[in-house]
Amino acid sequence: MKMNKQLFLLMGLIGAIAFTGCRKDFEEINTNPNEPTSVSPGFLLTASQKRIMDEYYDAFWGSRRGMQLAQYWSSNQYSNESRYRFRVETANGAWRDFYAGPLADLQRIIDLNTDTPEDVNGFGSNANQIAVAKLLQAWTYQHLTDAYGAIPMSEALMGVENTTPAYDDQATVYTNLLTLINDALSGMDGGAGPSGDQIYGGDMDMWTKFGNSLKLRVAMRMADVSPAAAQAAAEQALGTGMLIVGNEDNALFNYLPGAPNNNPINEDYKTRNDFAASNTMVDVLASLNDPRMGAYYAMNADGEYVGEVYGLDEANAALTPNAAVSQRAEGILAGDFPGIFFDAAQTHFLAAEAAERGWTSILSAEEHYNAAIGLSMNFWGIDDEAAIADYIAQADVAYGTAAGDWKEKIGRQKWIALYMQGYEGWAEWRRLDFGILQLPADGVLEGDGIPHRMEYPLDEQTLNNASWSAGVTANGGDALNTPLWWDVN
Amino acid sequence: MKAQLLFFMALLFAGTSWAQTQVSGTVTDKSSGESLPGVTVVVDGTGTGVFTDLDGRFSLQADPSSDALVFSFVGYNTTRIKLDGNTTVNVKLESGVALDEVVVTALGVSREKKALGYSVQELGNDAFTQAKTENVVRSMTGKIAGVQVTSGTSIGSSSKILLRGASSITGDNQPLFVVDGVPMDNSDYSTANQQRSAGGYDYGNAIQDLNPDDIESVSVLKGPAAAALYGSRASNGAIVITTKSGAGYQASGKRGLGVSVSSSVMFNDVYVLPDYQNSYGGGPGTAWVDTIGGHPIPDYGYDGSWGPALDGTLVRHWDSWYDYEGDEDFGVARPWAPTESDVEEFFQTGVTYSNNFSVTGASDVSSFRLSYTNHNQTGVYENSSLNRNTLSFAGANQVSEKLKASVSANYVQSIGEGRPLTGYGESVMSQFTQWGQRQLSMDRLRNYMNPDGSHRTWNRNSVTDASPHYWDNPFWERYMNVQNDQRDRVFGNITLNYQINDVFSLMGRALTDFYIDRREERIAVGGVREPYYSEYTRQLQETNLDAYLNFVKDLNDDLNITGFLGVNRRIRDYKSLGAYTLGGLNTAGLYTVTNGASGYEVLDYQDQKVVNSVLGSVSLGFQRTLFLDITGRNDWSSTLPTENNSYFYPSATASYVFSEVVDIPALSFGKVRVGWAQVGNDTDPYRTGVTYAINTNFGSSGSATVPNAQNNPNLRPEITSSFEAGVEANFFLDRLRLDFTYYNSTTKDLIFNVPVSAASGYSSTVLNAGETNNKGIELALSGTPVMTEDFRWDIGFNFAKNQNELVSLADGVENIRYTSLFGVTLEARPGQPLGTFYGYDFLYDDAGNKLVDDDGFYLYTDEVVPIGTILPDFTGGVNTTLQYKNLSFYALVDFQKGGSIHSYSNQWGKYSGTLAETAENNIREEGIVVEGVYASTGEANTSVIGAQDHFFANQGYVIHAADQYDASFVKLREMRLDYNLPSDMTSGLPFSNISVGVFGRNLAILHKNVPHIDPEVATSASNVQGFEGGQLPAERTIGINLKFNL
Repeated sequence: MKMNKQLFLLMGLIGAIAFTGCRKDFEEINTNPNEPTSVSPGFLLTASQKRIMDEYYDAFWGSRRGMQLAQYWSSNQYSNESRYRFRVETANGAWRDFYAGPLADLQRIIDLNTDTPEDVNGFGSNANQIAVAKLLQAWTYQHLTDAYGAIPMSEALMGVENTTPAYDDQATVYTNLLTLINDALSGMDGGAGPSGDQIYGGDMDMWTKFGNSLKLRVAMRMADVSPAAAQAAAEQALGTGMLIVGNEDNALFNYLPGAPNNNPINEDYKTRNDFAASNTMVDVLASLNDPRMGAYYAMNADGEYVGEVYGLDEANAALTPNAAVSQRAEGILAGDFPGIFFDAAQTHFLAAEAAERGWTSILSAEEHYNAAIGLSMNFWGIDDEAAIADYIAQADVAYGTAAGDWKEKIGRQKWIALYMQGYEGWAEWRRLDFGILQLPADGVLEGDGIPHRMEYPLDEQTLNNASWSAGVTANGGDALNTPLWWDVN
Repeated sequence: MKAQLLFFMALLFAGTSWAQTQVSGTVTDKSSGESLPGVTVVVDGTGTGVFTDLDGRFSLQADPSSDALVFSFVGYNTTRIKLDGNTTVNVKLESGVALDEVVVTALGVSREKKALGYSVQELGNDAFTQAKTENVVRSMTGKIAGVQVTSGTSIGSSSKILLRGASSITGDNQPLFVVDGVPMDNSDYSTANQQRSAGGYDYGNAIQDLNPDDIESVSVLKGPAAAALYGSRASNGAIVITTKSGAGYQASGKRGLGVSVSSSVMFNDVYVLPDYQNSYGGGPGTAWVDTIGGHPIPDYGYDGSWGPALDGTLVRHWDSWYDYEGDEDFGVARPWAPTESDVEEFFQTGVTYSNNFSVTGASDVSSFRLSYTNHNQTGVYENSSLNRNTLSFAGANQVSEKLKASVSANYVQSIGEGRPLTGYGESVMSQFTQWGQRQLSMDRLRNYMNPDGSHRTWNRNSVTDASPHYWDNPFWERYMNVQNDQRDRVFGNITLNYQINDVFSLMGRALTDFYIDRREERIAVGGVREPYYSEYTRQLQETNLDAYLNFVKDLNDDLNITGFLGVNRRIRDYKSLGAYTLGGLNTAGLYTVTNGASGYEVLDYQDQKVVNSVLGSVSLGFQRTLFLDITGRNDWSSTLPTENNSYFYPSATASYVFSEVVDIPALSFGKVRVGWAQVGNDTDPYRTGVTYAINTNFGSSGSATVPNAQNNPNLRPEITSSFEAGVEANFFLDRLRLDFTYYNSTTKDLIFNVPVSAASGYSSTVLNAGETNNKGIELALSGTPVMTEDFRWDIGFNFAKNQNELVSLADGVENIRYTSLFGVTLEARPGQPLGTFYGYDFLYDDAGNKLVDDDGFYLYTDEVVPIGTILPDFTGGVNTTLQYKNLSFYALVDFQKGGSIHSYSNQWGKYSGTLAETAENNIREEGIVVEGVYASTGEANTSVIGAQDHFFANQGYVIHAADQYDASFVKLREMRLDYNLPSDMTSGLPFSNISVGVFGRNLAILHKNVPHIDPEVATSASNVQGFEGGQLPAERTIGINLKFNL
């Protein structure tokens, strides 16, 4: 009997210990004390804008690929990428950092403003937050599709609901881009702009300009394959008159001088100096006596502008002393060199093209062309209007006398002006076929000639194989030479 | 104080004054009366012992007043006889029941081995102390079937242990370590880069805090059946360690104090270095960069060896440009010639001193043991050291007739300094093998700093620019970029045992494991990397509160029942605080986070996990031949969603000693066992809710992002179900012993943070991701071929074969990826083993010839394909012991067949022209025609390609399979020779039980298939294995031991 009493006591004790705060406090214990469960959408917007540019200027994505594909820079050592051996795994980072980075953050801004609008309307009107997020998504998707062709878009960003999103072919992507931009533009209301906006400080007029300019760019890129849709969209955009037409309108991400908020080129340059001026660009600038030379590149040890031969093999690249060739200009290597989303010169080059295509534009092709060159000069710190006029007046630049058809004239000057927007420079070379780019001096390592697209990152092959495979089929292959949908000729 | 010390000393000498006398006698078989030769007779509690001679006689030195003798012989019951003043002892041994071997099982319960329905193997103290290592896990290498250990090199580095292979894609597959009931943390906090050999320090896994000198025995419970009672963490098995206490001393009848001392000295040297070429020096091509003052200038900035031939031309070497007063090398041209001081000169002999001092004491009601150990090690890398102090105490007191209290407390302080960097790009081997200039002299590099404190590196940018291009001087790295770390750890338990009556007893205990781990890393101003300082402090505490009601009852003569019902609450608290500088350091040499040139970043983190459990076990024994165990456990875990956080898992095992029933000739013991068990598993904290990651502010603006990993509010517990069957059989009076096991386990609803297409908006998502299966066999075979009065020869063999497979994956998940580096991924896809490498492979024709393009370069696959798996075909070891009187010799060879590793040392060493094959067969002068056939014509390749083109395009840099290697090996793992001084030699001395030994570990790689490196690759204890980059050379240890009692 005594033993039973002890036993009961014991069982009671066991029960007490076992179920002390069993379930209720578990939820509290498993609530993450390290991270917030909600944040201002402005925080997400700031991060998105920075992360888009961080990747655009990333050492592998921006410098080794974009800046060399446009032949703005050459490799002074380890030159594989300049000869088009990229290795597909080096694109994993960019794919991840665009999709699982800013695109996902922007989608969250859209979702928060759609699903729980009253919780977040203190950070700008719901409509305007959504509009700005959509425009930045559109910018990013265009950047990705112009590198790859078919990309996941309509099934993207759904998280666990779809971990193997299908690829939209590029024609569909472009249609979706116009829809996304139109939705953003028509969705804006008169309310406050979004908080956390590092580009325009929440000024919705500026975002209207950004939206129309981006729409013009999207339209022009499809002009050769879908002319009717392109013309309609371009004329709509131009017709609003609300575009990025002056440098004060430029969409820039103004990096700060120090890590971790500095330009990635500056961060990379702290430990490595793998690039020098490319002779492709230096020779063109020199032949035109281009005032932008000093803003783009530094003089070599002899006080001259000499480009490193583009596409040397490793032995030859290493044998060119750094002191013998022009390096990148100091301003470009600075921590606070801005990330460029869109600049006024581009708008004018696009408008010039619209005029040449016989679409309703604002000014004549030549007027837009001259304005674009002048705005580019101003952007790079050349304010001597007389010098700019002299530059434009010379026979090789003047719209009436410069060599080639309008595509070549506009293309050439646009390529010069798109310095530091490597992917755009490369895209316009593919579309406008203005020549200039040269084959790597020591030969092409992969593919045949100058690439017309990027091969998909290895991660997609291993993590999203079926969709990747279908995407490859949609493109007509996964080679560097496979032309994109809009890249005819 | 002084008086206490004197008293203590007096006690010590009191202990040594026991009179040693000759004790002799005869041993016979109890039933037949025949004399028994070869019986081991040991003075209990000491190492002193002899064998009986052909007539069963023995004679040894012992103290008749207090000693006891232990008689043991295979096939007979071990018998302990207290001398009680007698000097003659005649013993009759009872046969047939010697296998009532007792082993420690789950929850520290000692069980007769024959009653167990699952496989348990045990190692004694000798396995850990006779050839010491700094990580006890390493001492288990090759000694037990189905235990696979892979270890790093260098001081305090990681050792990964797998019991029955990797069964799960989650976590790290490491078994649970339990020390005197305390579940021990075994984290290494390794970074993702470190795991895939891409840089960082190897801080080792925390189980290395265990002191080998304090270990009494280690039981390896391999399957989940053995460990079901420990809960989820033991789903990969459990390693149950019992430390020494005063209990054995007390039980042997001794009273007062005993003192023992054990010392070891060990010497470490590197012994696996790549074969380098010595024909060409640094540079991208054979041309000189320049000529200054009539002397050629090599390319200092290039980190490869495709440069000019080392033909003795007088050139200006890198160190001829330092214009400092008294610098004799300045301005002097020296021959461009093979180095006279090569890579091996970079390393030194590491020396380790390990000293243990312990005091054991006992009275009629209490006992204790107090032990202090110092492990002091210098590495093969200059300026590296590991110093570990361990203080441990165990005491027990019979408070009353019914109540017993015991306590154990351990304090370990481990201090590391100057650990070498590991992995591709950071390890010093990276700049010797993967990216180096072959003509460099280590002697000259040793002068790493100019008189003004500036850095002298071979990899200067140019003649005029002395700053480093890619690499620091390796000695600068050693002396300027010095890390240090310290871990202070306390673990122990307090236990109360109350004997309620003959049937029931109650045990309550509190156990804790607590440590603070602090790490500081530095990069000095003046090197190639941005100057940097970081400090990281981690604090972990796991506390377990247990209560068990135990019962033992013989229901009748045939049937007995034992068991328990218990509760457990486990609380794990983790906190970390780290800070690091940004943008370099303002003041050189000042290592504080506030010295960051652009400020600093602070990371703080904490998590908590609580698991409540109710568990029980019932064991039935019938006629001591048939045994049945049933267990059940229910866990409630805080980490799972509320509706899914309770899970129950049972086990049932049975064993049948058929030799008690059936009489089979030559069979002295036979048993079959069979078992089935489940183990449930939860997950890490905070994987079910939605949160945001906060970034550093952008200026004054806040910045946050959606995390890359998506959490899952619908997680379920994962469940492992396993089946195990085995047979144990001994023949010829146990001279031949066999133990065979088959197991098969399936884990369902694996919780894994699955890497997914980033286009989904997340790079990974936490899922109940799939199902894995793990099955295999284990065989242990041992025998005693020779046994005479003075001589005994034992030989043992163990063998294990494990197969695993990812059976299926959740919808929408194509594969599980562990990691990737340079395009090679380590992943698992359904139908494949866990841990399959994917990469580009050569293309072959139907006859198996490699295909080349029209220029003579190898063609490769369009997509990545499987190119190997980390899973070995089989592993095992062979050991032998020869014992002649007091002299014993032991040797262990272990082996692995199959398994695959990806070697970046090979890949980049060929790319950069440092390895021997890049300058063999006149390849640089004449080029090479690679073996293969043209894809276009099918004809044999005749196209000559240049050496550099060949090593750039035809190797793993482009075609990953080219640097995928078979990891098979045969290693001479351990050899030792021990001698116990006969007690008559030591009579009259203040010492007794003296033993001396010499030993060697990792003595030789007898066979391997991968060139240049050691196939055993480990840079962390994580699941990510098989990537080799900048591997630190394997180290060989030679040491001596001395042990004695005072």
